[in-house]
Amino acid sequence: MIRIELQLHGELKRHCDDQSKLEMTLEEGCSVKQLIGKSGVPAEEIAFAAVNGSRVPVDHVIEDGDRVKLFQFVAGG
Amino acid sequence: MSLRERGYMNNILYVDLSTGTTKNKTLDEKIMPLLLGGKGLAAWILYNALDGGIDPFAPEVPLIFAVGPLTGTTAPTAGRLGVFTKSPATGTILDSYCGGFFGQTMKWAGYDAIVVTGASETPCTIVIENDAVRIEDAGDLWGRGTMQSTDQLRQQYGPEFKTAVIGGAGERLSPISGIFCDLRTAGRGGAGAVMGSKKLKAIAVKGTGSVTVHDPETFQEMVWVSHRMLRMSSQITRMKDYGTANIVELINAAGGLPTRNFQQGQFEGHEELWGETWKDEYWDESAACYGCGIGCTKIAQHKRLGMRVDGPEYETIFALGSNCGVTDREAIIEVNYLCDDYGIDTISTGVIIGFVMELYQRKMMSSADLDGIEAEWGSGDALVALAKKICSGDGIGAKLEKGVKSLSREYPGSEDFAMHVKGLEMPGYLPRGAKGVALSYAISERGACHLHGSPLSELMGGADPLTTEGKASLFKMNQLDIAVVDSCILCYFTKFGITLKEIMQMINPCTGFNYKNPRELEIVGERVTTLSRLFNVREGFTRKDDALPKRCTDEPLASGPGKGHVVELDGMMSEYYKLMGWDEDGVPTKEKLKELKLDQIL
Repeated sequence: MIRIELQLHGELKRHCDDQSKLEMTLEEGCSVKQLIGKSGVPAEEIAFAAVNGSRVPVDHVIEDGDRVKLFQFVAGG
Repeated sequence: MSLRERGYMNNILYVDLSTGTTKNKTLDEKIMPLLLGGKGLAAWILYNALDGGIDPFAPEVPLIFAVGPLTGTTAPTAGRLGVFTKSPATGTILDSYCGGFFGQTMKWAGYDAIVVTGASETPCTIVIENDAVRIEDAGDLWGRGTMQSTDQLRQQYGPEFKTAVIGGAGERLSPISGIFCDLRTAGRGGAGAVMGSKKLKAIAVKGTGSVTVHDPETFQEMVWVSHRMLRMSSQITRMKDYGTANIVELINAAGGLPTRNFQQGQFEGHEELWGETWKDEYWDESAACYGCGIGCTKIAQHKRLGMRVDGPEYETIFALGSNCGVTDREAIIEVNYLCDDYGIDTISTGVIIGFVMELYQRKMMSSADLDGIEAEWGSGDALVALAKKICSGDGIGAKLEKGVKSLSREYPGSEDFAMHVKGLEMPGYLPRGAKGVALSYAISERGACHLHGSPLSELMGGADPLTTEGKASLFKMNQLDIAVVDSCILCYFTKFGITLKEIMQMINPCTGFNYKNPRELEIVGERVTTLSRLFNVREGFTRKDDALPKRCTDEPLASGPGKGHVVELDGMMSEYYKLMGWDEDGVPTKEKLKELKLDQIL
């Protein structure tokens, strides 16, 4: 098993009891896509995921101690 | 039914500063459904008024202030103003926009466009009070900053007058100078210098009229739909809380935050620049432009010096912050203030300073070349000192204020990392980290630009930013949409809440033009975009000019999500030209001009 920190950007935290940071225990080999499935955050509300501050594809495999952040869609320019 | 009852004032004001005369013309009823107004109308006026190759500072070059059919109505963000001319920075057509309160006031005074030509012998102000227009001496304003000038004009004419002014940089004809309307800025491309070349310090306008629309009941229903959709957008809500700076963290995570003169796409000090950080420590007030429910303006105060600025905006934060390796927020606020007061573009200022810092790093410039300034990455003191030089034009500032393209010519080899396109400094998204954005920088009609269809959504989760596949099409779609927005004129940010469909649902009852579907409106956008391209083709711009610096195309990114990537420009370019009906050299074909009915109006 691995332990990771899940961070939720902006409004996404409303899906996780308004917590912007959660400690989670996952099985080894867990991908970002699988984590999203466990998190309760609807995939269609997620712009992308970042691991340790950098964007990753959803099939990226998470490692022990990673900080995973799910970003909401934003506006700006 | 006259255009006066269909969202327009049916009136263009022409002011000739050489003769001191004015005249009025009605709009051409045939062309308005084809071009709408704003950008479309101004591009048509500019194309017809000029021949290729003219100096942007020649008196006959028009400086156009234009609004659109939705301006001054109850539509969301309907106070926006467009400024149009030939750019002294690039030699291309120039369109630049700002919010504030000038746009709707000018419309209520009775004008769809104000076209200024000629040049005054002495500094002047154009004073417009509805249909009364006079040219007054502005000798006492010349040499003063934008803020003092704005205050003085208000005191002189009254608080109901809205103003567009230039600062010292515009007076000196700096190609990075803008036009300032209550601190909202038409900042990019040097419109301030064209205004300065005409010795026009300011326009002050008071308008007490109103706009009549074709079908008021339906129009108002559709306006409320749009307002509601904007209110319901979670993206807009976030912008209301954290301004444009809300995206700093996300853009950095996506690998798109230009850092140290676009060498990297991630900045180790990014947390210091987040919207959340600015909100906690600096912003104490919010503001909104006319008719806007978004309210993205945040106001910061410098803790030591007390100066207050609108911002800093995302673009200012990237340019003065990560692009110079700077996390010193006080220095960023101070430079933001100086740029506003001297009347210059913060994007160009930051990209010039980032370029100087890299020249210094490579020992191509020394502190002796820089009037004693140690241009170290990350130094807030150096940032402020260099900005003061650029703002004043003193010493080395006289070279720096000409922009990155001009400066790079003096340092052979530096052209490869001079981050501009056609002479316009790049805005805040790393081209190697976002291939569609890279394409848009290369092609946009005013040089490197993030607001003319640049598909920023690819960095914000809308597409894979690192593939070239589909990016020509994505850029084209965005570009045509924005050409419509800029012709209406609405704010760029409305696109995060409403689409062409909602715009069509407002435009039809406003004008009675009855576009049958959003595709018909998209064709208006294609016509306006192609007309702008025709202006540039006549100036000699072709495929060879739709180019990026070698840093983007030949230097693999060293780190971040885009590690190893360069911009593969040629393939995307050919695909884009084909989609637009332009030939391989980027020239619109005769068939395309006929299809767009441009052959009928030029």
